Amino acid sequence: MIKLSNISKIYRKDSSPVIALDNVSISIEKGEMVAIMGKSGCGKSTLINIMGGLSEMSKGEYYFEGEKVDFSHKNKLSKLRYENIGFIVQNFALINSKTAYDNIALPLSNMKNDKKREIVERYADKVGIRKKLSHFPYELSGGECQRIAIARALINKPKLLLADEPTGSLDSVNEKVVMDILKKISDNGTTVVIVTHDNSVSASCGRIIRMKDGRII
Amino acid sequence: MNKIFKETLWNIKNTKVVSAIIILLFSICTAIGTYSINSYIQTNEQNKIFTKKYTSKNYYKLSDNFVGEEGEKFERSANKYTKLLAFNHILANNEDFEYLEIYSNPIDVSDFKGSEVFKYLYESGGTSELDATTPESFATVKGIYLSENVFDEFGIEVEQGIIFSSSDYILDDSKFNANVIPIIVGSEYKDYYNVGDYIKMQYNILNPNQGGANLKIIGILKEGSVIKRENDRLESLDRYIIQPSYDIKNVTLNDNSTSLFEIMLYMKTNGVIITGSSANEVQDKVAEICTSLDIFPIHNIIGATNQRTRFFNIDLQKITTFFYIISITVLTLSAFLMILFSIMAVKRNLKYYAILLTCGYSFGDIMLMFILQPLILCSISYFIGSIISIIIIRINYYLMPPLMPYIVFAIAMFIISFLSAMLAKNELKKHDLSMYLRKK
Repeated sequence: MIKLSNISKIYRKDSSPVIALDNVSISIEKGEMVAIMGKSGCGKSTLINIMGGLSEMSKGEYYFEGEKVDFSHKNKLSKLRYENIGFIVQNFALINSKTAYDNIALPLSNMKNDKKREIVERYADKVGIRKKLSHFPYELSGGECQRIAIARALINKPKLLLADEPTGSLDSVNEKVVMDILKKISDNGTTVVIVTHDNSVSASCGRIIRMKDGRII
Repeated sequence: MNKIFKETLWNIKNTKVVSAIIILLFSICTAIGTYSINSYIQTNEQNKIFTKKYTSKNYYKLSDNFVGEEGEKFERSANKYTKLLAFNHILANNEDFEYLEIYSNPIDVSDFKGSEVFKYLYESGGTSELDATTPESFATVKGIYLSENVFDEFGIEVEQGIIFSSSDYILDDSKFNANVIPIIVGSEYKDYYNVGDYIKMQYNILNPNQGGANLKIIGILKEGSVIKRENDRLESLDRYIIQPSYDIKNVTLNDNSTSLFEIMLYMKTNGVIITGSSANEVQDKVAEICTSLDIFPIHNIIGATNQRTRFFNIDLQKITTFFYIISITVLTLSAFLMILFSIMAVKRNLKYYAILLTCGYSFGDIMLMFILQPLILCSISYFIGSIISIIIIRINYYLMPPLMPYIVFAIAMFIISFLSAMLAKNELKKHDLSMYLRKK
């Protein structure tokens, strides 16, 4: 499904280089549910951002379904994200001034309203928040917010779902709910990559990749 | 494109107050700016017409400004007669220019033998109210008052009879009570009247109590006699009845005569100035005289761009310049606010843009939003401002304004929108959006 070959990412901080990723190579198959674990600052999020085409690597090659991802071609990259990749992050990344409905519908902006409503309601049903669609994120619990984020990430039927600490802000009950949803998604054939430092989360995954100081160990 | 437009509108809606302030400021500067440029164009076009041909000798029409509330205030003032008399005296004896008293005033006559061509509104195709309500033998005919120097200035001579003597111009008590007024008629009258004939005037302007007066023809002008009241505009006297513009210094004043002379003075101070100076220089001189005599509103020189307005007698050109400066200041302020707003919006919305990126938006889409947002605000302001300015110009100048100022402002608005978008883009480029996705 995806293949990262000798990926390095070097930031410049106060004109001195900081190595976030150092020669990382990973292969993830279709339908796999993979956990990337490691301490804070080890490069997990940087890696997942590169997988999602949000951040460009300094060195190396990235293949998505066998095709090399060209980071210099911004339109192709956004098309790749739009058609193939869903994102979930720890703090949900919801727009507070939009309702749950509008947040979920964000990737469907070009669609006609009737069809959009039908799809949004279907996905809201899947994650169990249909009754909360008219609410704003600040009116909802963390678990509900994360389920909105999941519904939004899934709405374009992505082949790859990237989750950066998806349960980091949730209590154990909501953590279980979210992980069950992610498991179900994976079982349906979507590749799921979860960045976490929580052993109970990684335990639900089929494979664990451990990182330290920008390298895979 | 639809999604970008929707998101842009949502962004504008989300920043209602700032957007409204920007729209208000841009509307104000567009309205004031286009209006002041248009005013400048209009007054300068007029100025060119009146002054372009003659550099050594220009003819300027002096026009009073006694209209509206300020005008009425002057008319109610107790000493207006003294002021106007002094003004007339200064005009007539000024060293800076020559002053000609030329003022038209139709005359109502009875048993008129002349044809239609002598009637007051014949050339313009209209009929006077009197023509419509009185028998055919009554007519309102063209009349004009000329001062003595007009005859010298334009070389006006008679074909038959004599021109006015100096004493004909002096209005003393004896003339005030006389029933016979000497007149000279234009050459076309010679087919209907002879020298020595009388034309019966319905109303004696010199003595209203008499009920009427006899106009005695003392001369008939040569054919083709002309005067000039404005540059480039010759007026034929062939169909006119000419009366002397009276010098009213030596008359005993009473209530009746004072009000009569006031009317005469209004007309006498609406004459013609001949000078080598520009219209604006003459306007300044006239303003100086009026101010020294406490005559407000100040008389205008037709064609001058620095005419005084009725409100506070401010120089029109200065007002235009002032408005122009205000509009440029507001435009600069609005542009600064817009740019600041765009950069602040980028800083405030980094997470929002990161979310958009995860939802299939490209960097280019976000750039388009940067351009669209100021463009929408500017377009709304431009539309509102232009409508306001067109309405004001239509009210003031009775015409559709030229496109040029609107094109200038459209370009300015576009440049401001583009500049804010580019600066916002540069600001966005400083940040790695993926870093903001995780932020609270």
